[in-house]
Amino acid sequence: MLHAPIQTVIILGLAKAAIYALMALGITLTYRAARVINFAQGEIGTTAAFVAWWLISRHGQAWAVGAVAALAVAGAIGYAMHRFIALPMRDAPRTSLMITTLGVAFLLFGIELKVFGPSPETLPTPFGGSTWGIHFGSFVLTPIYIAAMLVAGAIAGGLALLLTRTRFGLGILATAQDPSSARLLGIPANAVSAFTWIAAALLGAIAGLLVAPTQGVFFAFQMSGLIFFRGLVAALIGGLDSLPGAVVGAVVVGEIDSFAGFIFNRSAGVPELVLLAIILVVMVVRPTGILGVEVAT
Amino acid sequence: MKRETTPKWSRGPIEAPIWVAALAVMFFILGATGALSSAQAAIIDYAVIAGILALSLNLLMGYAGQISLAQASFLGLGSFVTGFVVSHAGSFGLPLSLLLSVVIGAIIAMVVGLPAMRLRGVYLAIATFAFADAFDNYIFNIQKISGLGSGVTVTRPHIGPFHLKTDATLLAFSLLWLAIVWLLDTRLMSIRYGRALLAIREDEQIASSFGVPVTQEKMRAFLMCGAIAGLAGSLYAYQVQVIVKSSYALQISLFYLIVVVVGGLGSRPGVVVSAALFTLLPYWFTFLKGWDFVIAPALLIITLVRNPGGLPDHLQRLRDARELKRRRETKEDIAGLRPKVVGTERPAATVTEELLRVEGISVTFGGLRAVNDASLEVTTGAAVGLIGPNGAGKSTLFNVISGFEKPRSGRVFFEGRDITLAPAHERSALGISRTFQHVGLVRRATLVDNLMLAQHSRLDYGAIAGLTALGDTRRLEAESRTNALDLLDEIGLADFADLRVEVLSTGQQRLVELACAVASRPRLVLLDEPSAGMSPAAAEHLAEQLARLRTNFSTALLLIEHHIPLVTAVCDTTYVLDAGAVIASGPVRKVIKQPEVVTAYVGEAV
Repeated sequence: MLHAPIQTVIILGLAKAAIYALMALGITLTYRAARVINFAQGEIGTTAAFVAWWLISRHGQAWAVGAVAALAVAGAIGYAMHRFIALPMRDAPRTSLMITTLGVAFLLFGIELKVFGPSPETLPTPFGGSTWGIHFGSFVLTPIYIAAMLVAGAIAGGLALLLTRTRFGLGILATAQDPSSARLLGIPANAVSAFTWIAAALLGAIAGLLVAPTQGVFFAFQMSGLIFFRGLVAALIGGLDSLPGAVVGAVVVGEIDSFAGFIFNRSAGVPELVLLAIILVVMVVRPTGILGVEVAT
Repeated sequence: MKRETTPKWSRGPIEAPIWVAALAVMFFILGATGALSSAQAAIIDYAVIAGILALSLNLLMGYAGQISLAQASFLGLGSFVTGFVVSHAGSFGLPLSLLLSVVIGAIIAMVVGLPAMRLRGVYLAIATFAFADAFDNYIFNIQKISGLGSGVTVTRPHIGPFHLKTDATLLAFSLLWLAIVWLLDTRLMSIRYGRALLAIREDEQIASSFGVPVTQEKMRAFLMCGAIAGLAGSLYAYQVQVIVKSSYALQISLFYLIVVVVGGLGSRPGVVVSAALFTLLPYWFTFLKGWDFVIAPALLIITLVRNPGGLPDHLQRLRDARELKRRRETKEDIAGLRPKVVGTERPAATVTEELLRVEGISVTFGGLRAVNDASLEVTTGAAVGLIGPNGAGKSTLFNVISGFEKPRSGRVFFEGRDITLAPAHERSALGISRTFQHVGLVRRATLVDNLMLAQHSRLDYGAIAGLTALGDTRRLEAESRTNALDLLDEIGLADFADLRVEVLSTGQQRLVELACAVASRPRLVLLDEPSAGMSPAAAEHLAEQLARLRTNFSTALLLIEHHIPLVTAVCDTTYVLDAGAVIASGPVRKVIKQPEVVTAYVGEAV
């Protein structure tokens, strides 16, 4: 039984989907360009949340200051992953590069524990104590969720324009299809790689900053399980290399999350179990994703 | 070089388990006399269990090159199964809990692994990640399973008169299991199943061309990985006595991944020592606490960026390259074949009959027709060429025949049997072997291991017989080893049998590839540009070598080659492929003079 009107459940699902879409877009971008999953992307989100929290709650800075600093840190991490990992490992087996991104995720986790400590912290919303929101019966869609939907929509639209309308964007797609030919055509492989890793890091950070205030508390490693995992399932539903597919996948995951949460609101973890089942089914039935055509095996 | 025919597993590796067992006895006595404090014994026991868990992941990641992000979940599974069994089964608790932990670990591995195994490696990483997350959030959150906050209490067991009540006896018990797992691991890597994993790690396509059923072998590795981790979980439950779910979080799985990479992918002692150190050092040197989570991943990143295959891999490559140089200096050049006849066991076919028939094959990539209604035939023992300009679809047609490409239409018959849909590894077992345009060998395995891999489907002992060295295992392994060394002798590379393929020159690798192609006594060998990458001198010998292969092994050849003199020297007849279609066929000398063939190669005559 649903414990809320169905339109409420659907709208909350879309709001969650916006955040998962940011993750899924980053995962898909990296997979297209480097044929690996960047497992550090979620933890970059947690790190960004910690940086923002440290400046905002500890040092009384404005929300915007905290957010900009967090994004700067994330961008630096993304660039470092390009410069010191992806570039030297350009010809390494993809498995090794993927394990290295797992190492980065754990390194960020270890640093969070050392620098900010293991205790859960609270990141305030940028909208202060405002009680404003869009009302759906008794349910209020709070500003942070509205912001998430707007930001995700803007980023998805911007990425689509960049990739299909600009020379650089088309170069990214060409590199993903055939790296060596793209290099011969004079597409700057280094710039494409740098863009990809930085963009993925920023998307992770934005998702982290948007989701942390909705969670009450956040803590080290939280984002890797909470939003990165869901973004990964969304990307997988999209076939791992389709950006529109990733967005559709995010909507599917967001709605599953929302419905499972309302139906089984007493037992946590049901969404995770459902998502595991979905992952296994997608792998058996349609590994190329719901919008995919290429053969994945 | 002294001929080495004794299989590896009857020598050295047995020593390590003996040492571990001796340690077990020592700790047992130390504990009984009170020389080893209970707290110390417990900590060392954690280190031993960590070693078993590291071995489980090393099996999957170090040997097979697959990632599991769920080792801590398997550990938790073993622990909670043990907790449940102990509270219900009374005096049979210990054996039953160990058994069930192992079995359930394997079953869950199957459920999670089966969908992912057919796909590329990244999918297993995703599936295990999801599994870890679902277990962490759901299964381990069920009150009846994990006891939630208060955990589950596990009482320590006894086997007959042996009470495993003290930490020291438990430590001795865990050490015995470490010895058993170590021994099984060593056995695995000296039989065909272990070699198959090394081939899979290198390249799944090459593995299946050797006759390895890739999905099945990956699955077997993951089952063992889950089972061993389940065992570790059971031992862990008895040691901690109160099991709580936080010990089995995703972070712990990631930490073990780091432990294995830093210890050395594929290195048994490396990963066990690494697991022990990462467990013990933060206990003994408390100032390290917290820093281990920073230092360990940093070490992983440095290790993999500098040596993507891991440190042991890098060291072995250096050692083998040095060895190669040393042995070369004491020998004359080894380019040619020495006249020694190997492999005339099958009488040359007296009647030529149809061997391979390809009927109306078409392959399309997107909108492009790579192969267009191509048909060809090879009779037993024949040598047939397949020539044509670049991009004519020759390699694609090879891929259809060897099972790497599914045709859009058309059929492939081998010895009268329709094999159009048979997987690649089955075709290898039926008697079709192939070489690749780029050298298709397991570069990180030794020459002799490559040649034994090529005989994978002929070594038909089962996994249990292999792991226990029972049945025909020893005999079959020894035979295949002798066969491998004979073939290496024949191509003049026996002196380098125990070195890795990657240290050889491309020309030498090509020779090894040829030897591999005939090692399984195939009926048909598909050769994809065998002269590519060879020095002109070595290429000159090639025609003679191919002719000898054909007679000595009474096999048919289908040869893709751009070097026309080689085709003329080796083949009786040839097919010409242009833009995916067969445009001519017949005796080589006649065909290459036909105007349409000349046009295909050099363009329209002016």
